[in-house]
Amino acid sequence: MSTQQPRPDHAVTNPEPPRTGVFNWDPSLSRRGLVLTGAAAVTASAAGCSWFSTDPEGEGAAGGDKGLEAPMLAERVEAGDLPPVEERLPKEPLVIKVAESMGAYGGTWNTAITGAADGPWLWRTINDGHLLERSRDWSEIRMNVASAFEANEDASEFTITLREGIKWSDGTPLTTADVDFAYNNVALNPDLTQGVPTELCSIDGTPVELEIVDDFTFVVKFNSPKPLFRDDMAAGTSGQRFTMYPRHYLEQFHLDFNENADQESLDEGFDGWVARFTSKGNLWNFLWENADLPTLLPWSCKKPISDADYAQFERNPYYWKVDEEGSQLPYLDEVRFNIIADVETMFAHAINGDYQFHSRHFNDNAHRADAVDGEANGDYTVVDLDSTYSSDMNLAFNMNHRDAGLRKVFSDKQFRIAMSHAIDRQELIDVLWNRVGEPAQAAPRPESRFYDEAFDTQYTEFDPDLANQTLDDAGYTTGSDGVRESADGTRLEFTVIVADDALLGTVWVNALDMILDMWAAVGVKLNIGGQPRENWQNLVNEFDYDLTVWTGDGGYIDETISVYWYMAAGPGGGSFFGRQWSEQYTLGTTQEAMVAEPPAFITEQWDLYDQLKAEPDEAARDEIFKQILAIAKEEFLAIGTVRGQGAWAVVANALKNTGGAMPENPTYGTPGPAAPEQWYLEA
Amino acid sequence: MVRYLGRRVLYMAATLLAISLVVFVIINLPPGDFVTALQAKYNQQGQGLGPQDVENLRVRYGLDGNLVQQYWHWFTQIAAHGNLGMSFEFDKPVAQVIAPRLGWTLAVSLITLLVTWALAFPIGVYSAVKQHSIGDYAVTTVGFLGLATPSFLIALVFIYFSVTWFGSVPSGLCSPEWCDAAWNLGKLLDLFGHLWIPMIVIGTGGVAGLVRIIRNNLLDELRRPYVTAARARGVPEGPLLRRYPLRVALNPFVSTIGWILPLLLVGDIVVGQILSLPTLGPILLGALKSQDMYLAGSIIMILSVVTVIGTLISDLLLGWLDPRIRLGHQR
Repeated sequence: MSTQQPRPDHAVTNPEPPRTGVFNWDPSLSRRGLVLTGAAAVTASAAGCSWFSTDPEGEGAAGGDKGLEAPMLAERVEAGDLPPVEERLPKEPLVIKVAESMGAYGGTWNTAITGAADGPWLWRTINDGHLLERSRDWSEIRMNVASAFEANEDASEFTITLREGIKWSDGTPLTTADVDFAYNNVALNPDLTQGVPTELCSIDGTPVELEIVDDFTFVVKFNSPKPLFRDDMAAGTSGQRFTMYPRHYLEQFHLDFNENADQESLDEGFDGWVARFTSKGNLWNFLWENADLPTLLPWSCKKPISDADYAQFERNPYYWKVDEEGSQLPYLDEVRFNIIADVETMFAHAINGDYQFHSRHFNDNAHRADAVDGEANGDYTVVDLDSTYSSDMNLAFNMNHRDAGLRKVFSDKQFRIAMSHAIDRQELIDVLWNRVGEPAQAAPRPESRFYDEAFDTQYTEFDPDLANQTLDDAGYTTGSDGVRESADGTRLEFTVIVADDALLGTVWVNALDMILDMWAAVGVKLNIGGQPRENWQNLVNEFDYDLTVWTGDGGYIDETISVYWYMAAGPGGGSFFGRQWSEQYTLGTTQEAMVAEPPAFITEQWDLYDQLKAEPDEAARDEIFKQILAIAKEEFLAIGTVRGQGAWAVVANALKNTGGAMPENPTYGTPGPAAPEQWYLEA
Repeated sequence: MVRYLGRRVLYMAATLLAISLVVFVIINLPPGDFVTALQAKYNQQGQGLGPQDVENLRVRYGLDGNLVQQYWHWFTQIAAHGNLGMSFEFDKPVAQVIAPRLGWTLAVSLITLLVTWALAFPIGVYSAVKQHSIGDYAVTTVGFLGLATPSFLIALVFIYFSVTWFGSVPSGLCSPEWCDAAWNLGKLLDLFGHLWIPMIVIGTGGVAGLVRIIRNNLLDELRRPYVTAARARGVPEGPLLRRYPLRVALNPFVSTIGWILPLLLVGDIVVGQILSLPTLGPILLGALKSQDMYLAGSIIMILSVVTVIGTLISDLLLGWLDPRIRLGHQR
């Protein structure tokens, strides 16, 4: 695998000339300016002074009209609080190609979260600091914090060079000492990290060997080939494992470096050094809990989340990316996460135009029409996101059910085929999906390179007679009350558990309500067990359910990662049809004795997936994955329903460079790859 | 008086003990614990936890013992050291999580209480004195509506009209441009601009209830022979009303502190969620959902303490105000 030069993202077909007249010096536009103006005449005039101050450095040709750095930073440089911008940037800053036009500094990106536990939106929005980075269209992996990333011949050793001169947000340089700390003192410390993350382990689960070569070069050694390490280092949390622990700051909280850490923590009210270390910066979520934590992100925490009704992030003065004119990014001064616990209240804010960009919590079908109605009034546009789900609701029967009778029924392929034929998908589309959508199985989408039309459409035609016939042939006889029984007397009455507060929860419950009648017509009785997501998660973890539904992740973009609709493996605890099998595969062991030995086709898929993970050649990997999919198709593991319109985002009309539609996908981390650091607000 | 006070304090301690026990049991009733929730979170980050890791985590969070031990540990820590324990979800001492929000919670509740009184008193008196008038009927109707409508619905209705008419969403307690500002007149005005909505939403039920009580009490008094006698002797209506029946009808004002305070605090849990107030309500809901038991338990305990103290104050005031109560046990 060769090193790729950082190739700019956001291919622009018609590059606009640099915008002129965007001479945005005006700090009084910032909230602070407004506040001061309102507060007292004296302070207002003080704020007003800086209005007219011009930074001599900004007037050169470099950086265009907007200068090389944000006015708010230029002020601090002038006041002597900050070194000049050239000293803050790395030797060779990463150049980002803007999506549409050269930006202008300033402005606030308002968005919303339901609370401190809403961590995913934090890392989706101000997501950076991975060694490598995915392009906007997800097709290529480029350099990011790393300036070189080279694998040896069999992809078992990776030599990684950090971009020289990158600094943490407090100005301390990033070096391999940070990498060493992150790996040896955090990832390998059993008190801090329970279970070494899989991306830092060889395929057999042995943690990697880390060799520090010099200040900027380190080598990661696996005991067998691990070509997907490169993909891992470009993904969400995984790619940040080496570069999210500022050693110079975190050392003081770590028992290895501060023998008093435990006592100090107890004095501060924590129950030990682990708790304090974690709260200061061990997990992603805490990035918005601790304003002192140095980061590599475009915006760093200014106001922690738990203190107030919002969390505020301000531009990182040491951010290491620039636009094509050499101006330091990000363009936006700050990001503000308003805490709005109630989704309807959040939606009211959105249609009022209070958010510059938001694509979470309320962006479902039910709210779409109202959001479009409010476009003119709220001065925003509803941008459709490309769905990446195989279907919006996949059904999984629990083949690891503790009840032997039910387990036997659920493991019967003929039973599942009959259940699929008994669903009138067109009626679901007409009634619940606003007539936009198509019947689909839990199979890769047409835009995927793994698309197989036969897999996608098998057993989707609505045919209750065929369903009845299939069930009759498979030995399920109809009892006196019209409900079928299997040969061993197991009644075909099931409860489907639904997380009814998930984004599509309402649609799911309504759809299941219709499926309930469709299945009753073929002698299968369904009960609907709607519950809050936390309770649902508990039941799923304990594989204590008959069947459940969830979005068809892995339909496009992350087919080979979110594999859990195709095989008993995958992130988030694995598949819903074989929860305990997934546990066995992922962890190599199970908490309680296995209720059912995995059949041959499941272990065959596991072997193939192991091969895939060790295969350096991408085309060969794809071939292996096609074999996995062929088994999934043959065994018909899960039932898909409807592939509908995707989610959507509200984008303020003043917000530029978002680049239009983008995929909605948790692995993609919408809108992270659309590079929010180069978004800007038109004055 | 000392004996009266002693008796009340004793009752108070017993009540709190009972509450703490019930709270702890209820929080632990749902299946799973915080480690199960954490496990799900780790899973989503691609970090699988083996059985041994789960066991270690249970030990770390003190979830490995039995419930009685956990309760005893929690209770003695609070009673002996004032230590509320750790919030699992925030990974911070509970006190640090609660502290910034407790003030707002009490402020919103107390201001609402004052407003409730300020509204309920004149309305109640009016509708009793002018019984069966159009005004009385109007107030009574509105009052029943207020009692019958859940406060979260009122909050949503307010949000709807605020968006359609004024183009702003009344959530939080400050506008974005004022949140960061230091305290000054502008921020105070902005605060009041936001505060009136939760005040009305949370207070509606309380106002309606109090109006009913005052109206009924006053009506009872107004029909007493001493009122008729005074009126027969030519005492003018105004002074007559103020001097005698009103003073008797004042009792519920004081005695209701005990139950109206919890009502306001509970109202805050749902309304705070919808209006995104920086109060304890929303984090209590979150803590209960993720089984962050020490945080949830501590919040409920603090609200209980506030309520019980409120009741004590109202008992004392009532004793001071009404000798019949103070001396009730001496007969």
